[in-house]
Amino acid sequence: MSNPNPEARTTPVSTAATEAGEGQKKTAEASLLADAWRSLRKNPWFIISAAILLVMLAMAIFPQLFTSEDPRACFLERNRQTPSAEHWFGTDIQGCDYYTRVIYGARNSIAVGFIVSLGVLVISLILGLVAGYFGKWVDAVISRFTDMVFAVPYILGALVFLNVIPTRGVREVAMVLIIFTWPTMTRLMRGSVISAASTEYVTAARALGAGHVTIMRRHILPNSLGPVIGYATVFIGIIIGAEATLTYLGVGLQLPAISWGLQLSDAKPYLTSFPHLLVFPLLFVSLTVFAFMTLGDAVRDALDPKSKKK
Amino acid sequence: MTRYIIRRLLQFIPVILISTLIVYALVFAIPGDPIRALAGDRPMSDAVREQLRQQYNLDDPFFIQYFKYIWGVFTAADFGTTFQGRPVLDIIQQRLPVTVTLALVATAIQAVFGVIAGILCTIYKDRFIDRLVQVSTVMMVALPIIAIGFLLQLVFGLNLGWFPIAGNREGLVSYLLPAFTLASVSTGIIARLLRGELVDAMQSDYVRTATAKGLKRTRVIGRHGLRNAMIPVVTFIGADLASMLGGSIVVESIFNLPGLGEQVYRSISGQEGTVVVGIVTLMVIFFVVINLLVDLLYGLLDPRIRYE
Amino acid sequence: MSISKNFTRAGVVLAASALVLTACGGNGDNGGDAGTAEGESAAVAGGGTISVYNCEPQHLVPGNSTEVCGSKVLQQLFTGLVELDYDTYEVIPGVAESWDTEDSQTWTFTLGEDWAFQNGEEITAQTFVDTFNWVVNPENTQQSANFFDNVVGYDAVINEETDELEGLRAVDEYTLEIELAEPFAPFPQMLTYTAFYPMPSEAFEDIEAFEQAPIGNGRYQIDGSWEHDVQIAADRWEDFPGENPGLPERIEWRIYSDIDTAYMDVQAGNLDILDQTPPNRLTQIEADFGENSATFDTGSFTYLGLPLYQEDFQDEDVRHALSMAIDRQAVIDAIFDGAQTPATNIIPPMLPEAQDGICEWCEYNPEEAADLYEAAGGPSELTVWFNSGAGHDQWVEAVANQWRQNLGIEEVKFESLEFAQYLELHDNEEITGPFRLGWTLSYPSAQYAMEPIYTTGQSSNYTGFSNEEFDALIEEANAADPETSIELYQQAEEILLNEMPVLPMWFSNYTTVHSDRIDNGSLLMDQGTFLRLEQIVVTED
Repeated sequence: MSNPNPEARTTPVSTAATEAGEGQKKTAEASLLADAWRSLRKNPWFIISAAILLVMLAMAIFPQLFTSEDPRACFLERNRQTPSAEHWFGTDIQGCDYYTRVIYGARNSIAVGFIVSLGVLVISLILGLVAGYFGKWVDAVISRFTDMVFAVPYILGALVFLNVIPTRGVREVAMVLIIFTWPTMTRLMRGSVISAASTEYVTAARALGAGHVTIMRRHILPNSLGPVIGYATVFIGIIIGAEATLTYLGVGLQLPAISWGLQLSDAKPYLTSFPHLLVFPLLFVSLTVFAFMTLGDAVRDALDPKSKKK
Repeated sequence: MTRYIIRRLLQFIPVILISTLIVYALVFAIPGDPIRALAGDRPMSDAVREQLRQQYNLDDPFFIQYFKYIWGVFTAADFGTTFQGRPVLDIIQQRLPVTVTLALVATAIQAVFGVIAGILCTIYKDRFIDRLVQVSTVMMVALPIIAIGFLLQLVFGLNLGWFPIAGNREGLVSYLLPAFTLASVSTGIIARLLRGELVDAMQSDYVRTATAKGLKRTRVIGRHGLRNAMIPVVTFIGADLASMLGGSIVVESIFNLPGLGEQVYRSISGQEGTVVVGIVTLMVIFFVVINLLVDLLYGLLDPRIRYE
Repeated sequence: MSISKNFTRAGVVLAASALVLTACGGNGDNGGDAGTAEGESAAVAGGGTISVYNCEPQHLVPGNSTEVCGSKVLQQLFTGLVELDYDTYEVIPGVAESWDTEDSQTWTFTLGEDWAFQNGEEITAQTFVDTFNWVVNPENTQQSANFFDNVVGYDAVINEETDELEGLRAVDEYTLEIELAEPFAPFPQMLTYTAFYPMPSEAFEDIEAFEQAPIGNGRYQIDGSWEHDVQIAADRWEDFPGENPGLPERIEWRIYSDIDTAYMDVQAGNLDILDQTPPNRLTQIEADFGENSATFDTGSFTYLGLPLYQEDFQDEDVRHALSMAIDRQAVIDAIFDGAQTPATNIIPPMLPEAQDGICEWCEYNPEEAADLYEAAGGPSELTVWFNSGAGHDQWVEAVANQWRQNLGIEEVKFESLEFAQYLELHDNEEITGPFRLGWTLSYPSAQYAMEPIYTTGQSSNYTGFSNEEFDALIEEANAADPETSIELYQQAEEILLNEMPVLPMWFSNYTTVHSDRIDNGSLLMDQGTFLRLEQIVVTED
């Protein structure tokens, strides 16, 4: 009981697994990852989503591979054409080849979505874990701080911040979105941690004298990650949409940047007359978000010891 | 329990004070003279401009401005006026019901549809309905709110004529399309959250025991699974309801609903600090109260949690 | 299965109730037709009610209204000293029956004797003196106060030495004399503006109460009060003492925050008139409205100004090249579906002073532009400035693309800012490239199209343009008799088109769409983009 040796620390995880009747042996961390990888490879949804994401990432990094046209070659005399053999996606309001524009739009949109989600994930993991685990005044301080930021609508913050900043690129927009969007995920994390912290195995680990960091890392984090990872993948989609909203309000990425958000906000007024302007960037945004979400689900299922399939 | 609530209520005071200070500072930081912009391309005379700046304390340093504002609030319940001279309280009084109605209808929609979809997914896990619900929730999340709003307006407002396109002249019916728009993203998130939690819960021992005892699957989900799975869902709905009050800016302007979100956006553009602070303060109060309620709900859903 | 069945039933119920609603509407229509059996375009008895799109006004006090949303309403609630004939843009009598001047400096107005406000208060020369003094007084913070800056004694009132304008005199009950500091021939035109409407003494006692339900002397009388963000309703004032009373019996301005919504409401028959169709809807107007639309030229001028305080733009060849490299018609066709008239002048084409074919550099000529630009050493990078959230992004980008393609400019950047910040940068001369601004004529005069924007040191002169010859011509024209002044204004305009401190882009065309109830032939829009609501004929109840 009073001997916190390394084995003892890992027991709760395996206890939980044994209780669930799925883990037969004590699993070290490395084999856990290997297990996860093995089950991932067998999951067709993982393969599909990973493939889509690879294509999107390639598009973001090497758009030249997908099109030989210059995205800035725009001629008014050919504007707003519907899709044809020459212009697969038609042309946009400025008379640029829309296929080329959509391809080149991947970079900024994915970058914003990715940077923001990653940043928010890190912030909420740390704050949510600390708040939910320690409770009492630590929780009060962090929760009230979260409330304060959450109380400021992100559009308000973005409008002000982005107005003050002289140029608005991916970095600036991403930073402002991180500053004002982290509270939701943090609260979610805190909620999961509270519920994980009151389980028997955590009580047991505490009783065994395990350190805070160990308990958090070994027992609480793996058991409370689920909802947050699920939300984080969805969050990428929300952020890609938020970038569009900010653009619509005049404080998003600036012309002459190319992004799906800019395309969606430009296409919005032409929804009825030129639906193709909306459909193509929308398709790409949806595909990307879909891929992120499915991937997130698959990874989550694979990592979660409780939901491992037989 | 009572002590816990009182302590939480006391914690609200600094939250409200500091967040109004932040908001005031943010609006103060927007460059440009709001009075100058009032008149448009043709400037007003310097004399008038000076007079107006003085009237709205715009020439004072930031902390003096903030202090004068807070002083007015506490000594005379004076929440200031817009640059058009309308009292902020009037505006809030007029617009609050609109936003609250919208938020409540949207919350109801997302809770009902999200939970139903989540349960369906669990019952038919990995089967067609599960995938269908999953894909459609992805689509709802992925469609920007602007596009959803316009699609709904076109299809149900204009082509089918079932709902009013805009405005709130026709009572509760006019809130349905905007509420659906506002709820669309969260419905998808709730469905997915709940599915994840339920699937986990279904594998826990007590559920297995219940199943082993021969209880029907739907009953197991309802009695044993849902109760545990609802914690993150309730957290999310609560947090979302609070943020909806502020996040309805786009929806309110698409559907021409004269609510608080639309006013805040307009006031930010016009740099009407007092209006923004007045409305945001209100939102903060909503926010903290709702969050307190959510935390209390935890206790009901999960008896293991104790309030110290 | 059972779920989907329920859904279907719900759908049927909804559809059925919709049918019932339309059926009721249909009955009402039939009744109306039976009443006016003669012809389809016959006006309904009494004039009918019209509902009109509007945005939320900033103010409903004449001296304080500087934007269209408020002025739209005030124009119907008030009548000034003089009015406009919207066919010829000639000044016609309003409250004043006649007016006279010897030197364009001292003006005498003879007022009609039967004018009163809607609360019964009589209107005399003193009414105008009181109103104008009140508007100018800085304590009352009226945004249009500086429209009076040419009246003798303006500075004294502004500096709060006195609260009465020296140049305003009520000679007797119905004779008003106004003395100007400088001769000003277009004074009667100027008096048609909103800022010069009379106000009853009640207004000065409690201006806030007055603003919520203005008491005017115009064709319409407010019904109830201003319902913020919802509507403003006004009934025809049956005791209107002037000529040509309003035709519709009642006007309801419905307040929208989103113009697209208003468009769809007209389409669905919930709103009668939207005066300005948003550009993105123009391609579908034909399909959506058929003959229920009308397009008007207006005096609303859009230009790209050049910051002459920046070295890059001091060479006039650079300015000419920039202008010639823009294919205005192509931009208009592509972005605005043709709904603008390319500007080849500064004075709007509808005014009597307008001239044709005098802008050498407004023609699209990419080759010459490129040569000129290269020879003059124009900048290889440009930043274009515009205010955000006002629908300028697309056309500004199109123009920038043409500059890139035609002038060999390597990169064009964009700066879009909130209006307040945008104006501040202008004031501090921090704009570094072509910038978008517009100008709408508050009153129809060549003077107003030029003097405020291009004369040295004027408040709306954002380019920093300063030309002695131009200043002298304007001054001379303002003092001359109407005949000579036309010619002088035209000479001044030619200087602008040669020097090109601004690149004229276009004059806006406004397309109005309306419901079946409105007689298309009765629609008319004036130079200030105001639809003349008082003339509208309603053909169905």
